[in-house]
Amino acid sequence: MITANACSLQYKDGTLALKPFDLAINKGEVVFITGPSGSGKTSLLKLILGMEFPTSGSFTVLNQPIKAGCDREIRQMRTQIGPIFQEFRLLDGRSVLDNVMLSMRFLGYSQTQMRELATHYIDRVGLSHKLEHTVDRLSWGECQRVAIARAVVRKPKLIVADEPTGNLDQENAKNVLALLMSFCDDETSVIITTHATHLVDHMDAHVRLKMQNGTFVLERGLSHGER
Amino acid sequence: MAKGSSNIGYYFSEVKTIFKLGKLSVLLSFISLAMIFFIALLTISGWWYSQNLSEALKDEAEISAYMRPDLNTYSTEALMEAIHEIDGVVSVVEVSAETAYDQMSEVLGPEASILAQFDENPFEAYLAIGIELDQRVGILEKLSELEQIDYIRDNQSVLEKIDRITKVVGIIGLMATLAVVVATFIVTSHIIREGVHMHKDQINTLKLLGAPDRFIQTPFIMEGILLTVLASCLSLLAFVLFSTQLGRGTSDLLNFLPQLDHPRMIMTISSGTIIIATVLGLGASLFGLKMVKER
Repeated sequence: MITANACSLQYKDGTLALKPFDLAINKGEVVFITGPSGSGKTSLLKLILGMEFPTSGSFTVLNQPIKAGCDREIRQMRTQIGPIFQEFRLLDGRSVLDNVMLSMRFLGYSQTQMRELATHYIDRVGLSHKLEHTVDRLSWGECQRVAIARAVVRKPKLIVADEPTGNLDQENAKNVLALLMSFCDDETSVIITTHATHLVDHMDAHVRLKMQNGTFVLERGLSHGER
Repeated sequence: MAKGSSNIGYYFSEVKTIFKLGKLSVLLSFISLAMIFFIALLTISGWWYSQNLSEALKDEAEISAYMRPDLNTYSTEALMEAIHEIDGVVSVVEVSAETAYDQMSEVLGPEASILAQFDENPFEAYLAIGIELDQRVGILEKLSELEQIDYIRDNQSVLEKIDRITKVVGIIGLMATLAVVVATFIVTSHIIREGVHMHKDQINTLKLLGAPDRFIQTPFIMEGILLTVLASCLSLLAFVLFSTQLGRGTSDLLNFLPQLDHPRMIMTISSGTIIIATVLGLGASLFGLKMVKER
């Protein structure tokens, strides 16, 4: 699903965000990436979403090499990813339903299909009572749930969540992580970044990656027995 | 098919949001475009009128041949037959001095009382010779050879002046059209760029969700088309009101000129303007989007 070979990322201002690394994430895996702020977690997610290109080595997501000159292919690849951004990136002034339906609008669904799927997933994240509310009137936690529903509604092969536990209390953070992990199945992988290491220690993940200063300092693939 | 039709409502709601967010800019652009279209409409309609007037006058091209005073009725009829034989002569009608007087009274309208100052009818009988304008020179030569004709008067100089005016107004009309195209392009593409700038976060989010450019750009293209079409409709409304009032005022004043088909002109100009506005809106929106640097 994701492979990296001697991949590094250096920004234009000279900052080396990711030192050369190898990585393999397979189908149906839950992957936690932990580490302090500035350790390279978000840079890694930017590579996964094709927002940045590797400075050296290769990086492939869903069989699509992430490199310059493949804009159209990368855009197409993104339709198979459900991104949950740290700042949510919801459309202000639009309802919960409109925001969730947005990610399906260009994928060939009919209006009825979009509405049915969106309603189902909004219900699944526990916001069915706020279907028609504009997102501006929702709490932080509720916005996050809308962002999750928008990411998963189109049944992506890869769900990528950037710091979904930020600004949440421990209980809510655990619930959000559990909710995200519930979308993992044989076809769908879930990648979650967080700086709250203590939260993921007890979560049922397949892979945990710890990052520091742009490199993976601890990589642990968990066997079935460990999980 | 499902893709396009299921998104129509979304596109319109996005256009509404774009208009709402850029309220003042959109309003100012709308007014500017309406004024640009209005000025162009005035110029183009002026050109249309002058061209049609010139054509109408050409259709009514006439030479007035004044006969020698000693000519009797028999000789006049013979003369008319001889004139009819000349190539390019369409009709020959004898206009009596009384008829000429009546015609002038009609043209002068309320001012006709001035004619009462004359003790005798100041007009002479003449032959109104309808001609094909391109045969004018040959006809004049032939007429000058006829002894029964005292002198000849034709309105060629008037026609030539109208032709020149038509050409000048035509050039002004062309320049006005060019100015409209350029100004509409600049105003519309600028407002589109501004809209894209205001929505850059939303556009980036859509890109990250994998939305194709066509999906992202459609509301902006619709915005451009709506802006130019609505502005052209407003200018058309103002133009119709203005030209109708002007038409009423001048039809009595200039009743000696051939009457032109005002409704047809309105229809032709209206449909043409809306088509041009649509094409301009589309072109300018695409241009504006192209000018936005890829991020």
